[in-house]
Amino acid sequence: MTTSESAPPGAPRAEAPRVKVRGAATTIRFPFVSMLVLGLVVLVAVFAPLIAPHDPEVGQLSNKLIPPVWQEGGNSDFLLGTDTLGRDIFTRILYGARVSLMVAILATGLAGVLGTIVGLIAGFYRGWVEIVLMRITDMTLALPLMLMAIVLVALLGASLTNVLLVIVILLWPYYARQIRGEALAISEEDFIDLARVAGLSSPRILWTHILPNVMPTIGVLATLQVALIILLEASLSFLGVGIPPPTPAWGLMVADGRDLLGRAWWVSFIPGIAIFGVVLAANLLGDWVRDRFDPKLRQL
Amino acid sequence: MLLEVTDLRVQFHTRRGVVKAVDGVSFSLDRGETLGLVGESGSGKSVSCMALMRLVEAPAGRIVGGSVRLDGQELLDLSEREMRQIRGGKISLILQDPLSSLNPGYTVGNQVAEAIRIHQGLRGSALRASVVEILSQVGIPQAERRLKQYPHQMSGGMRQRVAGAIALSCRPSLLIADEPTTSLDATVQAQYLRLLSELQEEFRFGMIFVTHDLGIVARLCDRVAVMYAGRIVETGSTRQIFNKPAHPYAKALLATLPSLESRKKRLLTVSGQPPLAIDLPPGCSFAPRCPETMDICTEEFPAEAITGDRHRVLCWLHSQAEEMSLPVR
Amino acid sequence: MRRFVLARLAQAVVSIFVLITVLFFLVRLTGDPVERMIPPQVTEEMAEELKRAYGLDKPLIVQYGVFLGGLVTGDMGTSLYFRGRTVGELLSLRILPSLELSVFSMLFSLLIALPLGVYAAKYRGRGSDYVARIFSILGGAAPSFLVGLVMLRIFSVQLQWFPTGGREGFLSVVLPTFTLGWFVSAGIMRLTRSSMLESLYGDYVKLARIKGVRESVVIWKHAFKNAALPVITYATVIFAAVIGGAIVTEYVFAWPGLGSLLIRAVIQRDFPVIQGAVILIGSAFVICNFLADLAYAWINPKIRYTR
Repeated sequence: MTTSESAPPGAPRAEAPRVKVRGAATTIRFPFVSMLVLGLVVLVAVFAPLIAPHDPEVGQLSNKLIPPVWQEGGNSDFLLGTDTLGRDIFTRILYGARVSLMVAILATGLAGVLGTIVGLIAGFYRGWVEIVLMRITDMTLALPLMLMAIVLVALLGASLTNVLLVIVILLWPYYARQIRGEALAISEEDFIDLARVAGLSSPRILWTHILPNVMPTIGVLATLQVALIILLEASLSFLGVGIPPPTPAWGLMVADGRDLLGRAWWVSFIPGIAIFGVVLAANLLGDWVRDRFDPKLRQL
Repeated sequence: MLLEVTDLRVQFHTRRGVVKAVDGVSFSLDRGETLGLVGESGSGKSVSCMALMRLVEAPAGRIVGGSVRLDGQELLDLSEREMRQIRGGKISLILQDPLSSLNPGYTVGNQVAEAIRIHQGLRGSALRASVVEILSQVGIPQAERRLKQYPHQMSGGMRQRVAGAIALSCRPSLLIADEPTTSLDATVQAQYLRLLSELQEEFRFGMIFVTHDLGIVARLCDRVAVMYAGRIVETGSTRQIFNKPAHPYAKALLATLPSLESRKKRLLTVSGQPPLAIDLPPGCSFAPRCPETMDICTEEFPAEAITGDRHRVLCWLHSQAEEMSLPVR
Repeated sequence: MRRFVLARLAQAVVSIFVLITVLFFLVRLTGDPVERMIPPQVTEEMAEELKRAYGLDKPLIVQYGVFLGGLVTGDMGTSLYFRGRTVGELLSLRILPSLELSVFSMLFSLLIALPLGVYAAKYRGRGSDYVARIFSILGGAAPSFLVGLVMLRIFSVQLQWFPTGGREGFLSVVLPTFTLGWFVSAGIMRLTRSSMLESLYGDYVKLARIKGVRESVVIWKHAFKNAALPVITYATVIFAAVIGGAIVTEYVFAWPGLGSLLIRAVIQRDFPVIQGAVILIGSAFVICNFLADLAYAWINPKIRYTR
């Protein structure tokens, strides 16, 4: 909008500043509540051993199925009640946050690193390297996520490491696909040619010139995937092909109460609500980050 | 008079405040006459045109006052249902970009037929004949075969002719053309303008032609209205305004046009920025950019000066002149 | 158009082939195939015999050939758990219920999501927009197993309006359909809304209004037709995802579909059944994606009329 001063005479003048009153631009407000919820979950996960009143994995059968404190028969020792084995649900929720967060952070990070490397290499080197890498990417994307996750974990054996591994295997192509496109565009810009003329090696150009330019995209994708990963891990654990008992994973806890819906709703619903809350907060944060930093990704 | 617009006001409610996009616009138009509406983008030309059809985007935008009379009928008092009969029937509008204004999902024939079906109630072969007729009238060769084509299968010039056919299909008495030629190249543009003139001869509709291009105004328009910040700051016959512009803004615009004979496309270039129509200061909105500004210009809004037959100016230079010239008249 | 179809078809076939191959080798390389295919409680001799019967004594590549040959003729082996029943037989019993649930959920979600998305866009920033957005935000975040369990608790256990599981009569479809449908409709609604927003402010919609077209016709004939393009593509893709996503819902409601068969096979380590179910569901997914591409091409005249 400042071009009119500097533009040569007779040049078409810049469009006058218009007040935007319509169009599809809905700006989302910063999601304070979501940040609060996620911050709380992180704190709880870090300090779980300090806060938790009981042992997460061992309970006393004499304490089994105590309802939450606000219900009749509740006990202030067990704020959110106990499960069939007499374990304190509040404690297990706290420790469960550790599992969810660990999987979410590690899987997001590893998938992001792997996908970014593949995407950068494919976008920068082109040729057969690109063809091979992108074929693998497309193949992986062409498979149904949930189904493949279930089968892979089932084949490899249900464990925390395998759940992580499988999620990374299935999610890296999302980064690779997006990053490749951007690396492709950036490597055609003039400053990359300049860097080449200046004698910079290809890996160096990738590292110092292209990577910093795709960082925002990586960040946006990562934020968007956190919720998906938490949901995926919870679903796997719920189905019995995720994190094995007695580890307090939220999905597993929901499954524990599956047959107790009539008698002890809290066993399933309290961890269920925890998953719901975290996923909701992560989703809202993801939407905001995407809108704020990379509107191109709106369709994702 | 075919069309009489008096003191038309349109406001947009935005987060940053109320925008007076059209702030007291008045003009009139006869059958067969062409009015050129010129001004920078954002000056309120397009909003004024849409307001004539009562198509200001709700809920942000609202027509808050004034009067629009077509053949003596007050349009602002009509019900939405009655207004739909006017739209496309008595008033038509050609939008700027023929590619985006035609629906990519329907055939050309379907889109031209729609207005005819709505307003004239034709069906079947009569409808089809009518579509072919109007397409031929706007100079589309082999109209019959074009019916089944989609917009993207046509050239830009052909698409704009289709847009023209849609606008004229129900023989409107008023045609508004909102920069219809900006996206066309020079030769196609010239052909299109000639076509519009011919059709106007034939159908005798009144035309409001919105443009940036003063060359087109000189060739096509009988009268000119210069808009600035939601107001018409000067209006008069094309000859008057081109020969002896009264408002400093109009002078500045015309200074960018070396000669009337020049066929080169000229864009309006006046130094400085047009004001944002939020919280306009008192006084003349052109004052900050005006080379002939006086003390009073920043204090009070100029009264309208009528300096001749259908020639009016909103400027203190002439408000005074009017008082002085009164005894002479 | 024909080249486009053929290219996509080839892509789909290759995808299915890769899925089958990867699965075959994964099953055999991630653990001892003999142990997997033959229950541990049988004696050494019987094991040898079974090995021969299942062809596990031959080299892997030969086994692969036999496996592919079997697939072509529809023979996917026999179940380890349900003795004497072929995988094909088990799968075929489950296809119809799975299809039923998927189709019902899809119809339900379209029925909800399309009008909701359209009116949310039309009345952007007002009441119905917020209702629609909350509906979709919640639907996108609520894990379907939680929704399913809450539905069961309220409507089956407490109110006893619906059965707690299984597939008997129309009532048993309602809760699974809602559970799966809500999840699906969240995405469709969001896309419909953003797509409608784009086309509602398009010039061709303006032109339709200029022509004097009724507002409802403006919305559904002019704006929606163009907005529907990405939505229909997405819906077809989503339908593929429904087939996969139905696994959890089927499991929660004990719905006798492919998903719950798969989970049971996983728990029982019934590998031939797992193989079969994955190939079937995976192929359905790939085929749906292929159809989505076709639908996209067919609706979009720009693609339809080139080549």
